Amino acid sequence: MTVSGPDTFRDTFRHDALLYAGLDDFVDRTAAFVRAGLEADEAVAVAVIEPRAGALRKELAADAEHITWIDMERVGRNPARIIPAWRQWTHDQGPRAFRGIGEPVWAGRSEAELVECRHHESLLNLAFDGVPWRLLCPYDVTTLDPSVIDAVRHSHPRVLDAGAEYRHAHPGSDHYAATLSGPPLPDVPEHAEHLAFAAGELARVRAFVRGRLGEAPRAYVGHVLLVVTEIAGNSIVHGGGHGEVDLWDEGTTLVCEIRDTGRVDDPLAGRHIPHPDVEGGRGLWIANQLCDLVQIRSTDSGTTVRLRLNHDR
Amino acid sequence: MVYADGVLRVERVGPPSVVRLAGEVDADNCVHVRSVLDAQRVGCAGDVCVDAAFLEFIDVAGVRTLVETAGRMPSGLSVVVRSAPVELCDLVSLAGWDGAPGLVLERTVRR
Repeated sequence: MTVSGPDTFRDTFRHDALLYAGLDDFVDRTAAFVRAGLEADEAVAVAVIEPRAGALRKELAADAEHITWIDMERVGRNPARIIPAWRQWTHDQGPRAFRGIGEPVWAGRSEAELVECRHHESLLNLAFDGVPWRLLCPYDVTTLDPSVIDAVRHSHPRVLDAGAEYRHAHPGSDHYAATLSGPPLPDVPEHAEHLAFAAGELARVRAFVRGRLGEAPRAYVGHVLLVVTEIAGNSIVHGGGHGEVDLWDEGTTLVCEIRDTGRVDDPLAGRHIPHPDVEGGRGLWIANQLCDLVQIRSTDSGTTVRLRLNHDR
Repeated sequence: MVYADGVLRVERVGPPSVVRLAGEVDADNCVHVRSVLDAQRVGCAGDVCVDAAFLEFIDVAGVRTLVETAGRMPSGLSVVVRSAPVELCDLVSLAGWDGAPGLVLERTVRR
């Protein structure tokens, strides 16, 4: 069978995982999916990384011009940027049915990234509930770890595997809330540098962070200081008026963790495109836009935001 | 000198009168920027001009101060930010305030 199916998605969000084996299989199955969308006059977008983007583009030939190509390697570096990118795209298309291919997970993703990719895949169901579009998420069974493939069924109501179609329970509100409560982040290393801060001390937090950035490029320093100021500012306004920050390096990545006693309730926090007239909600948004990864864990005992910024990019 | 703390100096320079922001503007001190800009807005009949050539850091709360002051300008008048650093311009976009009514950013080349 092909991956095109009954058009039941026309009034709802259909979120399928496609398990494929290698580049040729990817091209065969996704090209059929794209062409079915073009024939039905749907808006079609493809967000995959190389070499798959190039191979699919070549296969589609002239049809490729009718597709929006999204650079998943750039947009999806932090998986929390993908939902707003899709939201912007669907908004820009106007009142049509949508069809997309989105590849958040690829070989080489770190363990922390894979955790957040799983959260992203779950939250797609929440973000686009009721939106008439069909999203296909390709997973390469020849390069991805079996545990990654196994997790796919928890976030995709349908999994298409070698001609078969498996249906799973649609994720619910408990499932979405769980993206904020776990899994636990690895411990802060003992060599991390630590600072406690309170209201009125944002400049002190910046001085602490700046002190360990050395001669890093100006743009990078600016991003780090902005993001840390915003998240520490959230701690002061929403998180009990004080917080703690820890900083350490992991290879070429600066990791900055900010903890407070507040609570984040919205599983999509940081994924809402800011509206000019809306007062707040920009801190986590900006963190997601500027960081390579943002991990939010929030329970009754407090909130942790762990930011990762690679200085090599 | 209108306001100064350990990281920010707000001055009126000119004529013509310009508000100069030197150093770092953030959620902790933007209230002082707001009151100086408000006084400038009420006290003069033209645009409110801000010199950002010596601005070293600004956060979302600081940008919001500029956006909201601009939104309260009389029709046809603006908050004009001169020598706006690229970081400020980028943050205005990132925070969703591109095209905010009454806010004009005159970009500077990187120092």
